[in-house]
Amino acid sequence: MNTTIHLDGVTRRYGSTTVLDGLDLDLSPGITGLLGPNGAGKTTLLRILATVLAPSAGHCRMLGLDPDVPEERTRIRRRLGYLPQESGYPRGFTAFRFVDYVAALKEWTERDTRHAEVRRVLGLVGLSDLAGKRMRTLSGGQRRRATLAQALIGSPDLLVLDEPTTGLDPEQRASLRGVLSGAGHRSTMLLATHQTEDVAALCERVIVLDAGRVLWDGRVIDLVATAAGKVWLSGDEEPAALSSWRTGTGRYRHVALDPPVGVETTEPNLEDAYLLLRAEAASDQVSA
Amino acid sequence: MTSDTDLAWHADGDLLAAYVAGRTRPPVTASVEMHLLHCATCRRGVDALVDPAPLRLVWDRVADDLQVPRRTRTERFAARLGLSDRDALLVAAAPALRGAWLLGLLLCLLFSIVGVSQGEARASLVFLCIAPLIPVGAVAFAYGQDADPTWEITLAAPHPPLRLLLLRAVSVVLVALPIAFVGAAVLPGPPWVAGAWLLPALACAALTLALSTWIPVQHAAGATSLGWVGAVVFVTGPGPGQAVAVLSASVLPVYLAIALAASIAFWRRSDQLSFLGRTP
Repeated sequence: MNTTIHLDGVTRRYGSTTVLDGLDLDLSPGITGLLGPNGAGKTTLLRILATVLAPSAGHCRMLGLDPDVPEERTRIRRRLGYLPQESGYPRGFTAFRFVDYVAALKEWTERDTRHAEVRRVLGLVGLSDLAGKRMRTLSGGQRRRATLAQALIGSPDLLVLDEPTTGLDPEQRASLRGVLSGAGHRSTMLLATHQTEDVAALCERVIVLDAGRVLWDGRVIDLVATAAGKVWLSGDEEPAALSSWRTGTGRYRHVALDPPVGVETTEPNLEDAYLLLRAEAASDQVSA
Repeated sequence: MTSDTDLAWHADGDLLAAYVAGRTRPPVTASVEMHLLHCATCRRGVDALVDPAPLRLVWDRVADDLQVPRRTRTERFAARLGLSDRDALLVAAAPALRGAWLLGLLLCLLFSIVGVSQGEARASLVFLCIAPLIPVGAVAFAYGQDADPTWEITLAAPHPPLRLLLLRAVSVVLVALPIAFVGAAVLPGPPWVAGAWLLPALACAALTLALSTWIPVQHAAGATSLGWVGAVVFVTGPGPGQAVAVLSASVLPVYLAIALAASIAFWRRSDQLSFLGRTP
């Protein structure tokens, strides 16, 4: 598989806090999900991949280019789409003008082709009808989609998306998955999220970050498989379990590292596997 | 709309080709058009005969008219300065605070100019404090994570941040500069004083830019402004009439030296503008 991103011992510190700790990572075309608790370093990693933050130590190569070298960094940026975790918009701008502005920054100099591209990406995220509305008057989900639209300008080879489905309702999320899976076929996409369902639905590979280190890097189905036998159903609460709740059927669903013997196990999902992985890492830390 | 099956006849290929080419007589044209409204089969027939490219062009124009908002005042002004449509858009997207700041600054300048022309000594002090800080403010409101809500997206785009910053800063300076020149012309002292204030202005702007490669640009602008106002007040001492002393021939080379040194420092470190925060 051809590698589009290669990270070698990437570390990022803010003052005395180490946010990323010697990360080694290779990414190839396709969609990779990035999971991890708040403060795990997901946003910092994405910023480094979006070339807007430089690592404190270590080295990156993206699309065969070195982001430390200004000219090569510009060449990476020409082939990059980035959705930051938080972003505003210029005051008074409509959705169309906002995306048009970013297209102008992305060197779409000719007005007519630029406008055609802006219409295309607004159509992709389902905002064609709202293109003339001011960003201020759009709902949070609509604004998020407009911000995602700018990342899709020019069908970039590298897509770095920080929580693209935050604030979207189920229909919007489902339609966006269609857009993202389409874009992911043509490019290398790294998608940070808290929504394990999105990762399960879209990604072949998943990386779990914790405290600036990689806790898991592999196929989604392999991570789910680690939870086999650790999720079970019963008629009573289980206070010792990692998570335990009463389902709609009236029975309790539990997840634990060491389930009791002879229980009625059930199909695990990615969220179960993620919780177990984090719990295992925490218990390893305690025993170490 | 009636479904296809209800229709008794369909237009044949020759008739549709004649219609598309505009060769049918008006009554026939009207009749074909009426039929097309109700017949999906014949509409598909027309589809195949029409080149989609010009239609798309027409549709794009319509969409442009509906979706592309009218140019803002800033954009029209930037276009009048000779900027391209794209650069005008880049200037218009500059941080919003800038408008209020610019208006306030221009009002202060105007008041101090009226004062200076009335022979009011303190007015020269106010004018000399403000005028050289015009480019400092222009730089402070041009870019950076605190001022520009889209800065992170802006950085990830290939457009050089330095060019964006200069486009925005220069367009603000061009608005304020003519008024400052009027003010400088009525300052007491020899005639060259009217142009001399440009040197500290240049030094302050260069210093702000250079400092902004280490600390956030707004902090850099604040520090430079405090430094300049402090220097003016210090030189003036108890007699406000002495304010023009900051433009005396002996100190002008100092401003030039600061401007040069800061420009070199900025030039060497300007790659820092490409990142959020400082590179460790």
